[in-house]
Amino acid sequence: MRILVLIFTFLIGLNSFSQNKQVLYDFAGLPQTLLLNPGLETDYKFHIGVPLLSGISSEIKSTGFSLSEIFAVNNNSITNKISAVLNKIDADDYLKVNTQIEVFSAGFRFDKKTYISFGFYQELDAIGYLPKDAFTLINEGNTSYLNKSFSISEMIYKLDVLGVIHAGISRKVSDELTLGGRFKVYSSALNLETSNNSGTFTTGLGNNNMYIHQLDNVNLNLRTSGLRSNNEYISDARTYIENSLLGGNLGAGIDLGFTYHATPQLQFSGSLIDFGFVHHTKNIQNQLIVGSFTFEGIEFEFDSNRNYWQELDAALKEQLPIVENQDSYTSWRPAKLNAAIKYSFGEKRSKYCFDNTLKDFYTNAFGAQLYSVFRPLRQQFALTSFYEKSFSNKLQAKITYTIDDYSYNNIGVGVSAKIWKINFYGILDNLTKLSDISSSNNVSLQFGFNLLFN
Amino acid sequence: MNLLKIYSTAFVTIFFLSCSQPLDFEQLEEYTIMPSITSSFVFFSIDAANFNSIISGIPAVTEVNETSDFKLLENSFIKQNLVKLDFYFEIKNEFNRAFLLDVNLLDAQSNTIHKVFEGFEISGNTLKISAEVLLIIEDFPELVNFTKVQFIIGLKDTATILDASNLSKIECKSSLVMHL
Repeated sequence: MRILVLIFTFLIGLNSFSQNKQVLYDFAGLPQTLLLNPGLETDYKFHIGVPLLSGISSEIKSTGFSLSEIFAVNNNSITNKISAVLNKIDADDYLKVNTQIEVFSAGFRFDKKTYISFGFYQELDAIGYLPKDAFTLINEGNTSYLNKSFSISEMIYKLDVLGVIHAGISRKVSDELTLGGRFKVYSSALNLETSNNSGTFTTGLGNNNMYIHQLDNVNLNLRTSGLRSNNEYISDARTYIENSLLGGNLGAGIDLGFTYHATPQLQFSGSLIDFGFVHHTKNIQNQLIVGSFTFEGIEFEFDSNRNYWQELDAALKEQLPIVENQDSYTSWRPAKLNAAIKYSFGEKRSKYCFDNTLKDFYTNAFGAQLYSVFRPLRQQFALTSFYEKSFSNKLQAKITYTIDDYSYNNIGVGVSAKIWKINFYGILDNLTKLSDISSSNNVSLQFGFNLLFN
Repeated sequence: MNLLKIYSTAFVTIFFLSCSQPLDFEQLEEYTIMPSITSSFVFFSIDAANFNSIISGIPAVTEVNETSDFKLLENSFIKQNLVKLDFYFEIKNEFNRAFLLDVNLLDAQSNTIHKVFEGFEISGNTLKISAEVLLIIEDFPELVNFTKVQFIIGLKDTATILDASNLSKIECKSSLVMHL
């Protein structure tokens, strides 16, 4: 009961934390590591994840600013603080949110060489680059920015809410090599995205009038699916949940991975995750704005019966039309790459495996991991070094040091413990910022419970 | 199970030992954006032809008049947050005659709600007359209903005919800055 209370408290606090799955990668043979690399090795007969509690992760990350810069309680006004942040950020900065909840997961050993795992999780993944020009225009207007071209191309965002049903296989093809693959069926409940936009808005000194306002070569494509049905916004949360259970827009993807032992102590591993797409065909509402428009003011002819404003409105609609359509489209999942090198050393111990044989393992390991995710503007990278320690065959710990877009001194720690058949793991990240989480732009927490059977 | 409790408790302890300086998200309610939006306004070029209707030797047209919708203030955000309006005019008069200019702001029913200029004199042979009119919404709250603009330009001396063959022109440029 106490544990349940603690878990509940964790869940409440979860949204203020984010994740770093580099700590989880290849850690302690946890079933959840198979979602990061289906080619990793496991040594149990079967596993069952505690429903809704086997794998929970959440991340809220930002580059360019932290929450405390805006919301700290001090004598500076919120307007000044936001202005300071707007001056600081650039169009490469972004805000990212990702949450995964493993609803169900399980696996079993098919034979000595093959482990099959499957499950269902729900994911929210969103990234929005900070369109500095748009923020500046909204916040300050155009008066102080004559001849500045405000870029529309900075507007890039993508939000996905989806359910993922998956089944994977890990197979030891030789003493040195284990290969794995996982097939995923995506059911998208909501997708909002825009990218590859172009165009500028400029106010300059005019010839015929004081100023000339130009919208040049605008090409703005806003795509949505799952947001509106029959011209009304979907506001019922139950509809979104149902759509994530194969009721939404469907897609498919694969994970691929391997583990290779160059020597008994030196191991290489790598994976490609979420190489897939969702084809959106239902509840689509897209907007396309293409064209150019110039406005110099209203030119009076006097004593005419012209309706200047109506003419202006008609010219705007003709030259810069907003076209709405329900065209189907394909949205690619953010594919991730993992690569790792691991060297094991120290005391050699043995543990019982699924086939009642003893398997040797070293109590210490260190190595490096490279993580990359494909995002709309550019690929993002994280480089991690780690040290892993097995205190016993039931208690392991891992400490990591990561350099990424958010931090150059991110220290994370993970613990995995097994008591009887129950496995608990917990991971905290960016420990150096624990004394002031609000000034950090990357802190993470992951935890879960599994039942592991040898 | 005891060990599991110990591990869990240790983990949670670390979790709760983490700190955060006080954050106040309600500050957002005090956040005000104060953009200053510059827009071109009305411009024109008129010549003697605009005043050349003559009936029995008497100039039948001594002033010209034009009205147009200008619906930027129909935008609810602008309307609710408008602090001041700043009109700017630049006028060139090549005629050797003086003209008078009225600029009226009208509401949707074409009622005059404010006279920006009333009988503003444009002297003859003037290459550039500049005029700026700053209107504070607090002083003229009816301005938020401004959706039409009317320009009236007429001869100051209506008794003397404007020579129809005169190639001179009056040119006017104007802009509007909306301070929110």
